[in-house]
Amino acid sequence: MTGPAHGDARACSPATPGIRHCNADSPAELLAQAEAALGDPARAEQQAMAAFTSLSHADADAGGRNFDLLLRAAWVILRSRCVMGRLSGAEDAYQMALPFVGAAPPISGGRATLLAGLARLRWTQGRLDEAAALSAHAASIFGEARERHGQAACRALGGLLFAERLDPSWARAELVLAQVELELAPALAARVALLLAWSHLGTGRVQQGRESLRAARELYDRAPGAGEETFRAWWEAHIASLDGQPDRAEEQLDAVRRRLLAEGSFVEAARASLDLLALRVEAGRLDALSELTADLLDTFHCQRWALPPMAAIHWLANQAAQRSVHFRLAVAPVRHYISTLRRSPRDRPDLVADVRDLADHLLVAAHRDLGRAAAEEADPVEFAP
Amino acid sequence: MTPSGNWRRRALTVAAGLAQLCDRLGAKRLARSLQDAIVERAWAGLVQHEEVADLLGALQGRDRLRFLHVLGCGPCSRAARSSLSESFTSQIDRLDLDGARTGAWHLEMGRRYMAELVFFADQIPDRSSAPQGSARPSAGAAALLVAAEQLADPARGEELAARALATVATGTDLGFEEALAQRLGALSLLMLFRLRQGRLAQAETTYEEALSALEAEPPLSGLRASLLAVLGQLRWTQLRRDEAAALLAAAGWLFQFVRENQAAAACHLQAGFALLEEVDPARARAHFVIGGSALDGERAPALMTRALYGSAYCRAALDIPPQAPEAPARDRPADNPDEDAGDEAFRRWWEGKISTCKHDYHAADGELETARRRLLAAGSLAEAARCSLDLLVVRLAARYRGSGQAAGLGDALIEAFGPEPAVARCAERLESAARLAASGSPRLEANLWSTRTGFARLPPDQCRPDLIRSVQSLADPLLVDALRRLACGETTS
Repeated sequence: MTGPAHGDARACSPATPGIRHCNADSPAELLAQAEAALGDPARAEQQAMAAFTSLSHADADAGGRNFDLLLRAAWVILRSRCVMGRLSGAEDAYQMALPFVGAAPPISGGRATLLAGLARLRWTQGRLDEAAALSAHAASIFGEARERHGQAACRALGGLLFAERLDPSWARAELVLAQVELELAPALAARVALLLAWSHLGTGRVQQGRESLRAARELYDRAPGAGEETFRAWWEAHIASLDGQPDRAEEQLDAVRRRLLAEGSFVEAARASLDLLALRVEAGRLDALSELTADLLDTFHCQRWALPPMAAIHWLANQAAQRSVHFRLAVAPVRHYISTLRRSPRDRPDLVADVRDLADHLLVAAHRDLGRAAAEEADPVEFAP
Repeated sequence: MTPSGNWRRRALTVAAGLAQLCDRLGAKRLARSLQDAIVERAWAGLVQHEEVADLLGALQGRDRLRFLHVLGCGPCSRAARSSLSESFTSQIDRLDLDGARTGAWHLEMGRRYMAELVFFADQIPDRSSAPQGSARPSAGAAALLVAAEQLADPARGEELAARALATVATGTDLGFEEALAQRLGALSLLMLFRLRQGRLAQAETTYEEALSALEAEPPLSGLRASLLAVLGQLRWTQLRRDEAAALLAAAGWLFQFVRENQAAAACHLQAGFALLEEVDPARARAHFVIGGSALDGERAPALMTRALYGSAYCRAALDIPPQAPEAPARDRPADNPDEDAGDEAFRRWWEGKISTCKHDYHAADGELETARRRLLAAGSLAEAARCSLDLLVVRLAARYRGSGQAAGLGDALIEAFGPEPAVARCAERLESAARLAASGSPRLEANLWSTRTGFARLPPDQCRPDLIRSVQSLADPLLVDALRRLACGETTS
């Protein structure tokens, strides 16, 4: 270890026992502060940028560990810009880190985290195939590094991504591997269990699906909140539909939709309306389709940014009612479009927390554990005098 | 109703004001402003029905409908109308604002937005409609099959793939699902041919064009895999190897799901080599095992050779004892008439790399020296520079053990290719590394890393093409073969 950057990293890692030689302005300390400030993306970006600049000028150490820190700093920048909706800036952050990727160890937390960040960006851009591939790749690197939190975060992200695309078989493949620690991320753990139930039922494993649903419900109390309740009611409706209870599913989904309409979050309300539309088309209730779009038009009347997706849903409902469209083929692009819609500043924020934010906290936990392991590897245990 | 004070003070009728505004701003902009204004409830009580009629006279086509939409559509105008006076609202109601046309406008807008989301939305058929198409290949499929034959001539292939894409877009003889498959197939081919010509930005744009069509494709689809495979190759060419490996592996799993086993093997093997370039033999090995076991060696012998060498290299790098099935085909004589010069150079090079992993520097030096001389003789600068660097590393390692000669590799490049700037830069980097090694500089490792990165970016050019066929080009026939079946329903391979 020759680079000053890594020395600081080891000493200042938040979970490193016995902090020594801690310099408040060191890149590692800045990075630790940036990771702790994920809730304030502008500040996190600023601090991570300072860390990145400093690290990119530091000499390479033998193990490439300061490159690892550098990639983590790039992740914070990328992630913060994604959250702030500056997607081209996020792409720039990735490009900025690329020259250092080759120098970082192939199995390293920094590399895996940066890829998970890139997956987040691709997901936000609506490039879901790339996002899924990158998530799986990042999970595999975390797996090789024997870092369970990072692996769980990436698997959970992959699973939820496939669930959003209503692809239960691949969602299940990812979710069964997502061992999210309940204490660390209770909301994410409950979501994973719930969607695992959905994916079991979606692939014909009824008994396993019901058992997973029971297990998921036992976790609900651990992560309370209106957003989580809405998420659960939403997916329980999907599960009820797969479990042969279409009326209950419709009732539950309608309640979710009304709650989201009342909340004034267009994107979520539109997605719930589409889900209900799909449910009614499947049940042959074509007479009740127009009221869904009327509700949307009523709530988000004449907001120009909301007009295109509203008009598309209106068209879809109209065509479905006249049986003049292959609904399954036509609904997928609308669903995709709405889920990737860039929000207008006039839209209310989502009621349901973004799963990517939940997973990011696990990634930070992964960094903490990897930092601790690196420190322990570099420093033999010191006994108190 | 209470007209706006400002307007009154200027003694203008609303209609005249609107007409003036219309002259100044243009009808389209005015309509948009009106729509915004009504939404903002700022126009409360301003407009009288005569003025509305005048305005409608000035607005044409879509602008007129947009304005009618605001005033005439129940749900959308409710807020606006609630802010208008009762008498004005009743006047509006007496006007024939053509509610049916306004509703139709909503639907028309929806159709247009749908068309932006997914190509020819109008052709998405009802599920009850009979499957279309016939036993004969459609015009789009025929054009696509012709384009797929052009792997050796990517410029011609691009032209034909673009033609196939246009044929599919205008074709009326197809059902939606067939058209979707052919469109995705044509876009995959177009992207591949653009990539092969080194037009990376255009290849990326082609992928982005395919995204909207991909949304209507089932999640587990072979055509999705085809696009991902080419995107993986693009990322690899951009030296974004992590992404390349991720995408190629995902394509491999998808191909496996649709039982396109040869294409799946080709993708896994490419993922393995991308990971090896990233110095990650542990994860690369898994892909070599999966790809190598599925690949039909009779159909793709050169790719099979690479699979065996890749796998053997991983074992050597991970210090795993070799196993018979994974060992490279060493019994093949060097002058095998079926093997081309590139394959032979590849074998020598990788034998050298494997020997390096086993710390058998003498053998490694011999193999790499032979490979380097062949590459120099064949006139491939990029490959000769990379092989020279591998040889330099071996000689440095050997010198630490008391023998070997590291200098002079750069001079050999200049001797073979002449003193032009690109060659001189490569030579200088090799000699500089040798000098750093001789002086025991701690910067050697970083220098070797940056040199390797620099050499990886050296493109083959027309004057000095690569001698060794890339794994990508060996995989292409298998990918295109799968594409033919997936996009055109071809049954033979």
